[in-house]
Amino acid sequence: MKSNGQRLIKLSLALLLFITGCGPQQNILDEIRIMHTIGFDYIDDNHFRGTVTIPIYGSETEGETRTEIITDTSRTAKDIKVKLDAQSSKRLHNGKLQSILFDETFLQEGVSELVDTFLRDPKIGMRVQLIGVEDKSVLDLLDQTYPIEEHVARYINDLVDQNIEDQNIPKTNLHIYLARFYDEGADPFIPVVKEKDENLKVNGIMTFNEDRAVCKLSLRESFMMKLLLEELNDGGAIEIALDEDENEFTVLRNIMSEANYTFDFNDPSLSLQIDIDFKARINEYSGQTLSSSKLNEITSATKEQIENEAGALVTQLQENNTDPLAIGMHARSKGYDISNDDWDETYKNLDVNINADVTILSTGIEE
Amino acid sequence: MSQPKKAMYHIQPQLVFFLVHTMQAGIGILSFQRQIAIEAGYQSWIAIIIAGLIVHGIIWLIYEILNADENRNHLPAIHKAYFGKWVGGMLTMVLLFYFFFMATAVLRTYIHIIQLWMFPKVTMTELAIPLLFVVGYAIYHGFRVVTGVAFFGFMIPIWLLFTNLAPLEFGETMNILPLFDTSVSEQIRAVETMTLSFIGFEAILFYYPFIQNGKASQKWAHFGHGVTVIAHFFVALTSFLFYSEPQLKKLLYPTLSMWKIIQLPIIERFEYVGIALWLIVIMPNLTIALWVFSRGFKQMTGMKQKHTLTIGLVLSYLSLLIIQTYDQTVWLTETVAKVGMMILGIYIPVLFVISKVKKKKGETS
Repeated sequence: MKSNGQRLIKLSLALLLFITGCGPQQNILDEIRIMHTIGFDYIDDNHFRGTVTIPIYGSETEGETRTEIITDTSRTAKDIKVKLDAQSSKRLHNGKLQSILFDETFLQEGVSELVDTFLRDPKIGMRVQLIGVEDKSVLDLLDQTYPIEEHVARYINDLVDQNIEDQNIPKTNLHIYLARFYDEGADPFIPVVKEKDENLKVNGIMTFNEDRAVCKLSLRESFMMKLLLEELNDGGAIEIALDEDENEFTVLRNIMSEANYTFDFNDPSLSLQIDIDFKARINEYSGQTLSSSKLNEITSATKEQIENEAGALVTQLQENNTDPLAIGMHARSKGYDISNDDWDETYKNLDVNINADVTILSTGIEE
Repeated sequence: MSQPKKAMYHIQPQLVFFLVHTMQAGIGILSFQRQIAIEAGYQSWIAIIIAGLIVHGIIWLIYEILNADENRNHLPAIHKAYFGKWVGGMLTMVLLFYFFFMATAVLRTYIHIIQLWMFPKVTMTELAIPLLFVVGYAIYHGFRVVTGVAFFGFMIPIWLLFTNLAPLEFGETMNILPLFDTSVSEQIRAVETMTLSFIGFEAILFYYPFIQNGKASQKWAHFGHGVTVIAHFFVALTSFLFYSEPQLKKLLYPTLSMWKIIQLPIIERFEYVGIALWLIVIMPNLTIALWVFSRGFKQMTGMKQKHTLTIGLVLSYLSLLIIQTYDQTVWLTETVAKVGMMILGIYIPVLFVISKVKKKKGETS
């Protein structure tokens, strides 16, 4: 019993397929400009400068793909998008944004207002990197070409990713920044890049108190933080000096490590014991042969240097009232109440004791 | 009477699994973890289990009510027998509009998500009309097609659950520790909120006569609900590990935001796949709820179902016109949830007691 009504319904349903062509807004690559990096420079209390890099894709007439930048100053974060759009022949699209850069002053003045504007936008991914720029304005950094990689946006992003993945920078991204920013038991940190000769280098990390950068850590300190923070599996490298005068040193690599946090809640000022279980392979050694007594020496030198440097790092962080090690979260997860106001004070006066347990797994392919 | 008259209008008891599960899984699973975390923090995973068990109890009550008398195996008939034509009719009407507004709230929330996430410029009508049309098409072809929608509503998007493993790369076990640092009053509030994510299954009260050998379907209903509980538990756990607590409380749709961490070489933003597939998740919500509405009205008024269906679809579109803002959408969802809470927590147990009393009377007299 095929009625006309049924036929009509089927026809209308088939016609629905064509509705897909009437989409209200299409993001066709040729008709938008994709922002890869956005950077902010601090000018004064009310003004900042925003800069974006966009790749201009090559065509038969336009030649090779190149990177262009657009920059303008603005008063508010919302306004900057309008001003940048005003300079672009095609709509700026932020769905492929990979890194957000801040200059040093901006980091010290607080980044919340700007980061907030990115949060409301569903197009922003959570693997975006927040990156600090040292000694230089973001504009100057982006408005340059680097011999090692043609596109500055990709260069900065890959540089930071590589250093997080395989080298000495602890794992971070926009998601981790936010999780730590909102959590009272931890503070965020972001990697910092710096110009070196013609190229860029990752020069450590900045750690925050709320949304202000308060403490800068060198690459070596970043590595110490990585040891204390993450369960490492084949990460980073550390140079251990055995005898400074003789210029004798060794490099440990393929590090596997794990840090355990134990609190003593009976202690009125609260004390914390951090045990680092550190396993590594010797990658380089400046001396002649590695005898077993030499190996023992390396082991104890490594233990001593890790304990000293990690201890100094923790003290430095405590003095600056920044908690990128998430000691507050550790305390809370053991049942300590950190929601009250004096947690900051408790954290500052926390008695931290570090013990490293070093094992050398192998010494490379030479004796 | 329990013997199926025409097998072609009936469904096999196993399929109740899909009907129960897909009716529960809908919009709620996108944001419930935020709601329960607001009530009981990161210890609210306990509430998921407790609420899950309570709902198992309610499913049992519903089957007891339906099985009490073989001649009255759906709610309109039960109402008529227990409360008379007018009072019973009123009660049925309340339930029908409850299902009607459930469908409307789900559709409005989904459209809201599309407007928010994918196409800010798309209008409500552009989305609502085609969707309601497809819903109407399914219902028009009878309950077996509605069941088919539920079947695909489970089979096609179920793999999305595994995408929740990706955020664990950034999972932080310290977030949920210590495990049992919670109070009873917190948990009670969270259980209440959690039950709201499980509503919808009470549609059994209406489609029970369509099941071949209804009694055999009870274990499938429990099984369907069990899968819902496990899915919610899993989503909540991954969210709690992924987000810090204050961060989670700020997000409107944490489950969607969690997809932001997935980046594939060919898909920069996984939400677009997820949100598009979510249409298939909400489809059973819409079809089952509006089927209940049209079926119930048919039974009450004696109109043809295709007419009551048309009324339902048009009414649904008209109410969408009224609900403009996000706040109104939330208000509607919460109101439907509160009514659902009362139906499950108070009305079903009362109905159960009445059915037991009546049965006893029937036996003694």
